[in-house]
Amino acid sequence: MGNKILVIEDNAAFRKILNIRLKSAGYETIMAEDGLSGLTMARKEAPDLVITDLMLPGIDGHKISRMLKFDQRYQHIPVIMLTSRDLEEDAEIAKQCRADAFIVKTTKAQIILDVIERLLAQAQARAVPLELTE
Amino acid sequence: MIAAEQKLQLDLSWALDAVEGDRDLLKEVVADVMTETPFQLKELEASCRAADGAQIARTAHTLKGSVGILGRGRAWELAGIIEQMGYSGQAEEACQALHRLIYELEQLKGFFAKPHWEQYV
Repeated sequence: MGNKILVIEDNAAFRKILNIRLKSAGYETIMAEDGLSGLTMARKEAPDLVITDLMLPGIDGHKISRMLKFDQRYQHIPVIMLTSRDLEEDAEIAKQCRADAFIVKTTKAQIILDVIERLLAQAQARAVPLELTE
Repeated sequence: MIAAEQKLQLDLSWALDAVEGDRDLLKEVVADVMTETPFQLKELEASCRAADGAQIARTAHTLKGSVGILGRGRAWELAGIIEQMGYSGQAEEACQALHRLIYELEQLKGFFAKPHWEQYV
């Protein structure tokens, strides 16, 4: 089984599309429909990457990113923020919340998959190997 | 392209690409959109009745996200306009624009209710 990706998205159709494409690319997926359950899952399930919608019921994507990225236990998890609003302001806030990527939803699926692959590779490269002692 | 598509400015190329050209899956995704939008529309109508700008923006944004899967047509455009009106606190104008959005959603509903609509996209 490949890397585990948590998708936090309230739109059922879009969630289905992401699920299909991620699974087809070999990833294991877990899905959350709102911000609060998404954040709980991120903390409980230790995914390798989180994809979150920006506007969500309850806790929004900015808050989710901030709460993961400013917490030492989860800050290594790459966060991709997806939105249907192509606003510079949102991209700026996403940066402030330390999201690793900000992508407009109608971006071609293959481009989203390329970003995921790149972020996972970066995260794995950053992981500090355990020091083995005799 | 058939007349109905021209009228609706329907563009399912993004969705078709996203499901890797699988038309059965495309039908499932479209069915999800068509199931979700009436509920989202009801929420938007309630926000308009309450003249709550922030709520109008949020619910219009959600609706825009759904219809956006069907391409950036008139329904998507109108939902975006209503969303902006919500942010600007123009509740009355949003309610007026909502009537046009309802009409566009009815057109979409009519198109996707046709048997074998997927043959035309």
